[in-house]
Amino acid sequence: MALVGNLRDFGLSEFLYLVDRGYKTGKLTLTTKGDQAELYFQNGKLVYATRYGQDERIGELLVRMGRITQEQLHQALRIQHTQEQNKPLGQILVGRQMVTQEEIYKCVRLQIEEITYALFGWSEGDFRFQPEAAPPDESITIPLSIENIIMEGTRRIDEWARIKDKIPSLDVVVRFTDQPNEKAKGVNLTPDEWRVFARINGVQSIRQIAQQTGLGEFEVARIIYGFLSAGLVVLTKQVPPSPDSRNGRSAAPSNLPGGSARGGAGASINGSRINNNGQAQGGLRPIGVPAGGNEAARPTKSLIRRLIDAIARR
Amino acid sequence: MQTVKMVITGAVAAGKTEFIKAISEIDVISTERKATDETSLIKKETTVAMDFGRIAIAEDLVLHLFGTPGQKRFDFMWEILSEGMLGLIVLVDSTRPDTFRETARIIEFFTAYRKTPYVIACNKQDLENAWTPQDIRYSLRVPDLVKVIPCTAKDKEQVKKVLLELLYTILEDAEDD
Repeated sequence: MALVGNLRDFGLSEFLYLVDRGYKTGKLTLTTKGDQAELYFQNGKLVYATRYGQDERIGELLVRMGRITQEQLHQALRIQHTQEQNKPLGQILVGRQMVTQEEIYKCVRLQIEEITYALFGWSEGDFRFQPEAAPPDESITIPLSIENIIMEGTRRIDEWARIKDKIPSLDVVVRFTDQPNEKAKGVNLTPDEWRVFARINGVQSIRQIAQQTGLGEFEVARIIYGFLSAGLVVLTKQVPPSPDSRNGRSAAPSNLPGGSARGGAGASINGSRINNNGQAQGGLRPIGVPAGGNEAARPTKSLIRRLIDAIARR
Repeated sequence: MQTVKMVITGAVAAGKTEFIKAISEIDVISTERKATDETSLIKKETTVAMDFGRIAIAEDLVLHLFGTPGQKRFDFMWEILSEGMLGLIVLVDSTRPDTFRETARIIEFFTAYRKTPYVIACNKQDLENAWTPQDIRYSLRVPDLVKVIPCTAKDKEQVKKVLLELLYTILEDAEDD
């Protein structure tokens, strides 16, 4: 059964995460105004990508990337048409030592990556995932790690509005996931990403990490957005804002358009305001902190068993 | 008379009213009125306050089921409804991935500050374009320990199963007598 939706509601990084965790095989077709792209997956890996107007054959790709000359391409095509009709062009080029197998893979890999990274810029567009659909017969497929694709794709996001979807405030604490995907060990991080990564401890907020690394709030939020998208970290609670932010700094970078800046004393959780003791003022209190400040009592086992028996009998 | 409370939450049109209707022994008290905002595009009638159902467990024990309003502008109700709740059922419309992000936000809201026992019920599994519970689990990024259960909110037996799964979850952490 096809999975369908719109990138506006379910972004590319979210879908890639789903493909990765579900070890999915199939074709993801993305369609937006006058443009279309197809990504192919095998067992949770991205293996092939095409985009409308950029569907270069391997020969043209190698010429464009300077690996072979136009003359060499014509020569190989002549051989394919006359002498070795059933042989893929790539094999002919390798056999004639015009290019190495490794260079071919490198070019194809680059093409798959570039097509996919560009799609992260699509904030709108329909998607349709057809399970089990395979790439065209003649295509060269290369299994690529989804986590790295997500990380690189999110490096290219430069809009606070997109980041805000996942990071509503800079006062949230980041921690590593309890069960990180085994493959996450292979994720490549830039030096700045490592600086942020090393400071994630389940205690400090994004704002505090930004202060410690000196990287700037937007940059740190963007990096953490990448970690979140790749399933490396989760956001936990919201801490009371630091003295700096209590002195009028906003909950989101104030210099960025669309930031969720609220300013003033106290952080905000879904519209509620939390004072420096972690208690809500005015509207909302955090769930689990009743008006009296006491946690609700835990139910007893006998009470729950009575409920189970009664419902099971209904 | 002891009353215990469960909260049924989820995004707009996830099937909360239907879920409570399927199991409640009283006519569901639902303050529905004609929707005037964007939710009218999704369903003609939408919940603007809450749904309330009841199951008498014994003469001295009643289970109340509260459905939260789906729209963001009624977020303030979530806190009120969740006070003293036994557990939470998060309903997801399995055919609408555009609501998954909102569903994740709701889960985050209810679970961020304490250990709230909850299960995810993937509604509308009878429809052809329904996402599988496993795909929904990945999409919502819920921990492996959280049960993600397929269901059809119109079906009483399936609603019962969801309630029982939540109760088994609560039982694990309940106090010994």
